[in-house]
Order: sequence, then structure tokens, then C-alpha cells
Amino acid sequence: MTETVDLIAVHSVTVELHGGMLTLAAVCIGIKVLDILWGRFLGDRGGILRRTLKKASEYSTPTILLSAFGGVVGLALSGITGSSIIPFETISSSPIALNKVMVSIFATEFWSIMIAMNMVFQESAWKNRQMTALMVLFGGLGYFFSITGGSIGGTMAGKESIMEPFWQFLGVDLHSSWILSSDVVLVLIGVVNVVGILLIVFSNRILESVTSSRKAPNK
Amino acid sequence: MNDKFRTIVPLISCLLLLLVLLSAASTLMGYSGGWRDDDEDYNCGGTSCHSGAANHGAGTIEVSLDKTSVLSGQSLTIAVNVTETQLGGDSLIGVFLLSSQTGSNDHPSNQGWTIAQDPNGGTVGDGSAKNYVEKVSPGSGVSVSFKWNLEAPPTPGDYDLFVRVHHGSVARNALWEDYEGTISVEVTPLPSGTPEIHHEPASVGYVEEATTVTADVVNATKVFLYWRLAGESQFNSSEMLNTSVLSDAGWAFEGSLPPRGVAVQIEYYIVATHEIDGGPLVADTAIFTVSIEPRPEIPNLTAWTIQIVIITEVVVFAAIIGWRISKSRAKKEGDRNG
Repeated sequence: MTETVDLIAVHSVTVELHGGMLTLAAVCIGIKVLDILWGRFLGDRGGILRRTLKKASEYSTPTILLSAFGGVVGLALSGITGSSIIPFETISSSPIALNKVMVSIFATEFWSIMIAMNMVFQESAWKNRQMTALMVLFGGLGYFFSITGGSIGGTMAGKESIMEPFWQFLGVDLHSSWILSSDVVLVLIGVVNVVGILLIVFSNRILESVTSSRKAPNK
Repeated sequence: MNDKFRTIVPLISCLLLLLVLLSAASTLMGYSGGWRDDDEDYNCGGTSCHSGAANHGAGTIEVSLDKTSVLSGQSLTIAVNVTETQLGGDSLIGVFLLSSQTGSNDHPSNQGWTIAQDPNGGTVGDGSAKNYVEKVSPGSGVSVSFKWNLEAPPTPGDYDLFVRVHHGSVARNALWEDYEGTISVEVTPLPSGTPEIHHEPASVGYVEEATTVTADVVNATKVFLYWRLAGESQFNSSEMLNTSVLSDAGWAFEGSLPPRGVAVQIEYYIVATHEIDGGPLVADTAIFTVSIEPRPEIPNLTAWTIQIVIITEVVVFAAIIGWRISKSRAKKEGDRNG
């Protein structure tokens, strides 16, 4: 007798896997930020609480990397299992399914960049203010898109999403198409590419001019 | 002592944090928000959230059949009205139609029944007709109606059906009730020459478009389609046309529900007659409901793909710029510090 594994169950496992891991990564990022802010404004004051936070912050650095990495792997796996459950024709004709795929792609991108920064700079990344801000931004956006994807997935499965009141407050309809019109998309292509390339080419010069203009009054 | 203290305190803090997170997660358990329409055994496949004497609810269940005796393979409608005073935050009521209460193989199909259409419009054709169906109750004390259209088993005999209800309460206790009465149906052999209608109900139609209704019918000389808007009293009728010959001396018949300008629900049934000496033999289906909805917008996949590429570009640009600025600043700070 052949036992078949229910793909929906496998998908649920991968969803839980990346949901849990990315939440852990987000919590650890929060701990790092709290530690940095505490150190900046209160120094080493705070007794046990401060020492605990410092210790938790130490543990958080490798945990962020591991859990974010595991989360992204889980995200990719849930994409594979999800697309095995729902045929491509159904996904491509359903606005809510396309919204889910889109936000999941964004989540993967943001988390991947955060992982790359963490792997390259390791602990020193958290000692640089701009780098910290970038990682918090990318991690935060990654987590936001992850839970948005989860919320859409829950809605697709016919469940009430825990984020439902949030979407209602913002007036966001998960079922409507989030695709911009072709005209807007074409204009955006031009603007994004031109501005992006210019910024990359001239980023050092812009930075220097900003720095020198800040220094000018002291001369 | 001090070192031990330094190790233990962060450990306990982490455990406490985990405990808080886990307790927050536990509030999401218990299938709050329902289980969705599905094929289920008695007691929801063994999950214990709706079992135990303490969780017995005080709702009332009324069951009615359109007939207590049915020809094998012909249609039967079972209507269940549930009135609950204890509803959860989402006011969901879930009703099971079962052929036994053993906890396994309780689905009516195990005794040969076919669910042609479930109370939420799920149909056998697309596999969405379920024996467990959830509906949102409009309020405490209001009766909620569930109607299953069944096709009788091919084997004649006496059959029993069972109904079970799952619902919440204000305190989110998972309450349940069983229908205490007996739902007995006699399935009798099909007399020779009686028409047999095999019909997969249409689950959805679209505004401004006719909805095609097809049926494979054996032993019929004429087949008629009766339809009306939900809420109307009179049915309209039209003769269905035979389109192709089947095996077993049967024909594929086709008819259509006329196009509607707005979203509505249309009820319909099919009648087949076989003219013989001594009067016609007649067979009919249950009354099915088809929802007429606006045709869903087909997303523009090209624009969707380009949109993802653009946003990806923005993210990558932002990362590169941010990275370069951070590195440049770090280098400058390094230079300043000597």
C-alpha cells in the first residue's frame, strides 16, 4: 500500500518554518537595536537589565544570521510547495495569489540583502550606525513583507487573518489587483534606472559635498 | 557566585521571553477562525477541540428531507437549520453531514452517496462539494440554513444519515451538538425504463453571459431545464437539446440559463421523461443554486512582472548606495581616528 504525503501539510510545515525563523530574526534585530540605543543614551547604567540586554545582544548576532538564513530557505521551500498545490493557471489568473507571490519575492529580497550584509561585515556591521540603520530597514521591510505574505496566504486558505483589522484600517483589499497600469510602469522603469545609476555613480561625490557643507560653518 | 548569576539571569530572561511568545501564540490555537469547508469524519478527524461533555452546546438543530424514499442514483435534498445562542467572535457555525459516527470513514460517500452540491455552492464537478461546511451566523438566536443535494447510492437499502454541529462561544469554548433524531432514507431500485440523470451542477456563472447546464441522461425522450431567480416563486422552463450520443443508450443534453445583467443567484433543476404505454416515467434532480457573478478581472502578467523587476531594482540600488555610503563613512571615521 502506498502512502502519499499531503502537499498541503508539507506546505504548512514550510510556512511555519519560515514564519518562526523570520520572527526570531526580527526579535533579535529588535534586541540589537534596543542594546545600541541603550548604550547610546544610558551607557552602562541599568544593572542586571543592562547586562542581560548586552548578553542577549551578543547572542543575537549569530542568531539573526542563522534564523534569517533558515527563514529565507523556508520561504523558498514554501514557494515551491505552494506552487505545487495551486496550478500556475490558477495563480496567474488570481489577483490575490499574484499579490502573495509578489510580496514573498520582496520579502526574500530584503532578507537576502540583510543576510549578505551580516555575512560580509559580521559583528562590525552593528558598530556602524549607517550599516545598522540599513540592516534594520531591510530586516524590517523583509519581516513586514513576510507577514503580509502570511496574511494573504491565510486569507487564500479561507481563514481570517490576524492582520485583518490592520488591512481594514488602511483600507487595503487583499483580493484586488496590486498591479500598476502599464503607462505608470513604463514611466517608472525610466525614472528608476536613470536615478539609480546616477546615484550609484555620484554617491561618493554627493556624500563628500554633504559632509563638506556640514563642516563649512566651523571653518 | 557573580559569574553564575551573570549566566543564569540572561538564561532566565530568554526563557521568560520564550514563554511570553508561546503564550501569545497559544491564543491563536483551537482553530479560531474555523477549519474551512472540507471532507471530514465525525469529530473533525479526531481533533479534540470540539469534544467532551463539558463542551456540549445548547443550540437547536432541525433536519428535513424532501423525500424519505428515493430511487437509486436519483436526487435527495437534506436541509439542516441550526440556531445557536453561543457564538464565537467570528460567529461561525460548522455542520457535518455524515453516514456514521465512528470517527473514521464517516463521509456519506463511503455508503455510496454523492454530494452533488453543498450548502456553500461547492459542486461535485470541481471537487468542492464537502460534507463539512461553515457559514457565518447573522447573530445569536437566528436560524442558519444548510442544504445538501445528494445523489442516492446505487445499491438499494435503508440508509441512515447523521448531522453534527461545531461552533464557538463568547468565551471561545469549542462547543458542539449532535442531531438527536433519526435521518433514515429508503433507497429503492430504479424501475426498468426510468430515466437516469447524471448532472454535475454548475457552480458559478458570469454576469451578461448565459450559463450552460449539461446532463447525461439515459432512457429519456425529453429533458427540460427549469429555472428561476432565487426568491421567485415560479419556475421558467426550456427544453434541453441532445448534443451527442453516449454509451448505454444515453444522450448528452445541453441547456442554458439566460444571461443576467447583475449579480444574482439562479435556482434550477432538470426533469427527464420517458414516454411509454401507460404514461411517462419521470425523473428529476434536486434544485441547485448557481451564483451569477461579475467575471473576475484577469491580471496583466507582463505589468506584474515588470513591477516586480522595478521594485527589485529600487531595492538593489538602495542597498548598493547605502552600502557605499556606510563604507565611505566608516573609512573616514577610521582615517580620523588615525
